[in-house]
Amino acid sequence: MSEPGVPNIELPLDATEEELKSTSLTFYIGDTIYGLPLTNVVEIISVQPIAKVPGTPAYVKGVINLRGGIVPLVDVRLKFGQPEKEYDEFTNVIITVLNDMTVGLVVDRVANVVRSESVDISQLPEFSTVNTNRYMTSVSRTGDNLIMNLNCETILEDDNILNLA
Amino acid sequence: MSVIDETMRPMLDTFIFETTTLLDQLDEILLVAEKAKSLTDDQINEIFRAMHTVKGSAAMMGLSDMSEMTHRVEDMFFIIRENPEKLDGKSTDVVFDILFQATDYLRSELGNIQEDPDGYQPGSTTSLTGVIESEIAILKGEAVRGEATPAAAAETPPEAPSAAPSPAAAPSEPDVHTVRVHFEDGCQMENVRAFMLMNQLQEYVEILATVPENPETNPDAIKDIVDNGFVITFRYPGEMDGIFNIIEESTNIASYEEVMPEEGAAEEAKPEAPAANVAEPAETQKAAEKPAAPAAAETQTRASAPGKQSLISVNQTKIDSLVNIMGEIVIAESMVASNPDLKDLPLDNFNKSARQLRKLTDQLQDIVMGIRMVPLTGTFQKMQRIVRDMNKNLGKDTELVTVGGETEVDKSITDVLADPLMHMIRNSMDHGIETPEERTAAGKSEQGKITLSAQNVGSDIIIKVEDDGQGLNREKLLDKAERNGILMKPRGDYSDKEAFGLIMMPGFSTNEVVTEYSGRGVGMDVVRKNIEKVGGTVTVESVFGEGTSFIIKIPLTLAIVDGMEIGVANDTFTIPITSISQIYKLSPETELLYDTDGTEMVMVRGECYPIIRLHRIYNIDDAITDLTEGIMIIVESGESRACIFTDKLIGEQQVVVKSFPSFFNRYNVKDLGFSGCTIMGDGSISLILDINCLLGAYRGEGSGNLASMSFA
Repeated sequence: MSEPGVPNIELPLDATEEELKSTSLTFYIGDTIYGLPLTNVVEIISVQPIAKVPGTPAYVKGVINLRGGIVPLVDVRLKFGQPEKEYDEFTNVIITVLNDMTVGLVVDRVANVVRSESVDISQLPEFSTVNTNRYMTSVSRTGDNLIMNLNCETILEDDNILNLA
Repeated sequence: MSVIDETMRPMLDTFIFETTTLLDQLDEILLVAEKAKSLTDDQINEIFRAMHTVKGSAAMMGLSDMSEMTHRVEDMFFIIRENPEKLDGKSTDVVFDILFQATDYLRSELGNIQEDPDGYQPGSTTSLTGVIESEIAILKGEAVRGEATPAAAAETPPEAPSAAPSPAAAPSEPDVHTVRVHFEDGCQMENVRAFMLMNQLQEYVEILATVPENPETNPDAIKDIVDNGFVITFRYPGEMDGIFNIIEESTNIASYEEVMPEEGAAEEAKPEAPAANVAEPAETQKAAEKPAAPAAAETQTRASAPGKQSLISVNQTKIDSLVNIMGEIVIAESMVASNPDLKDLPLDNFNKSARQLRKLTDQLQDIVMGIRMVPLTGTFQKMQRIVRDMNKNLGKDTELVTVGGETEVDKSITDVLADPLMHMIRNSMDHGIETPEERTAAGKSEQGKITLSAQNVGSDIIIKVEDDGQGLNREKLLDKAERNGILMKPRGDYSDKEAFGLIMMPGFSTNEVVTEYSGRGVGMDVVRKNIEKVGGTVTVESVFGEGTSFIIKIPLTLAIVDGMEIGVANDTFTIPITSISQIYKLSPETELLYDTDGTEMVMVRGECYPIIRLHRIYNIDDAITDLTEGIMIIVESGESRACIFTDKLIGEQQVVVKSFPSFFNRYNVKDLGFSGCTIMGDGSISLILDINCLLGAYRGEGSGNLASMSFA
């Protein structure tokens, strides 16, 4: 983790499955803190040279070479419909695995690892579970901060998966 | 507890492999024979031999049900072998069905064993053995067809051969030798050693009989062998010295002697004579076996005698890692030889050595890739079987014609191909080919025809499944798609190709009735997925009333291509060298032509090429737009040609093809003209262009995003 640009966050590598489930990796998009279940997180890296893949939505930034493997990158900022932001030294890529599919999520800045026992979780109000907030599972509070807990599956799921002709 | 003999566990893979090979051979024989509606003596012998081997090895593995069942089949063939005339029309059909059932049973058991060797429980063979036994009774004339019940037949002693008519003793032929072998005292497992000796000899001679018979399955044989030696009768035309050498070299052989033919004949004439000094039960069997063997042997040609094989079977993972390493070596070689640090240095000697290295790595690559190449014959053969079964069950008459089975493809492709091909053949049989009556009414020949063909085109292999059935009905397809809610755009917007493509959508099936074979609507989309997994594409062509073709296109080798790296602005792409016919720079004087759609075209040596601007179709900013500043690359695929316009050439490099992560499947990148991506020497990623697809999209054939892109 001495790589420049990668914050010194220790992922609990020896944690049990149960512990992982109740632990989130938090990151910033703008001023908002989001949480990602640690079960899906493999590692955090800095931004690598990206090869663009034409014909894909803007939030699919392209592919990177992760130790010989080809990993697609999704810009979470763009995926959430927020304006594009130039990548800087804080920009991180969270490598996630979901159903054997490895995807890198580009985030503004990785914040911390948070255990859910130490936070206060509340379910989302019902009206917001439709559409706009389908990426989220719950909101939790730790200290003064609110964390939007994300659902990895909906983020990586295709928006128009039925449009394959 | 496992059914399989624990001590034999290490042999399990070999057993499965060998038995599967034998079953494939059997199928091949059966199909040929069934077409001819008769069995030649050679074929009977082949089947007999195959069943015998399966029986022996199954028994060795402790799979008693399997060996029991094959034993029955062997019994049946024993009778047939002796009395071929008993095989009349009716019996032939029954025998074929029994054989097909038997191979099916064996195959499914093998599958189960492979899946879960520990939990494997043998399937029931009762009904099958019942059928076989009643047929044996009929063949022996003990029962009349139609009257034989399995129960009655079951009473027939399984040692049917002993009841076989045994004419006078076999003439003592000069080439037939009998050798008695004694094993060392206390060497143990004499029966297995005898079996191994048989196997060794089998490579050189034609074994006619042994005493005791089937030493490997008969535990009582041990005592027999210890007491009386192992007597083996075989046909060998050459000098016996060579054979004696083989026997001598075998382990644990204490002594051996050749039994003179007179003695052998005497043994046969007086089977129970004490002089023969052989245990009785074995001898009776021998008496039955002996007369039959020479008769069978006469019909055998030397060619069919099992020759020494120069093939070895290797674990596929080893080959896979070999291929991977080789890929890395090829790339490493490129990285060293064209290392930027060496630029502009006077390196005559280095270059010489580098060229040598390049040559060797190229050779290495050819050889390694060749290892994985296997002909499609085996895969095609399996389809014959499916057509046969479906003809029977659906009451259709269809002939499967295979063309180009000798085409070699990567092993991983044949593995992936088997299932989709099966689905497609089934689909053609079920939905495509009409019943004979319908065909006659439509003015077609009664017999339907499915053509399965394979051919190499450039760096791709193209496999076609064509039927001359009823064809696809565009309107019906669209109706159905509409009902199932999978139409994505107004009906009128669907091109024929897109409409036909609908049958490969999940949840689509045109057949109203679900049959055993198809109609569940899971087949064709699985086909598409499987083919796409190996970087291939499937397209459907059809003329209503005349037939349907499925065309599968798969890259020939999945691993390495010679690529030309090109740059457009900051992006790099790779074009397979095989697709490039010329690279040049456009001179300012060249005149451009425009067609009515405004497509740019350029004349080169009297030929007109459309210009595909990569920056335009892929929306790349900051690229060179002045045609005279960039580079023109003339590419071709099949019959079509075009001129690709790019900013610059980066260089030639061999690249290891990596498929796109599954994440991109939803974006149909294949339709965008990318066949995969690759990691270059400096670690950056380059997308590999699929020229065929690009040109197809240019011609307006693309089904996806590219077709709608502007080429003008």
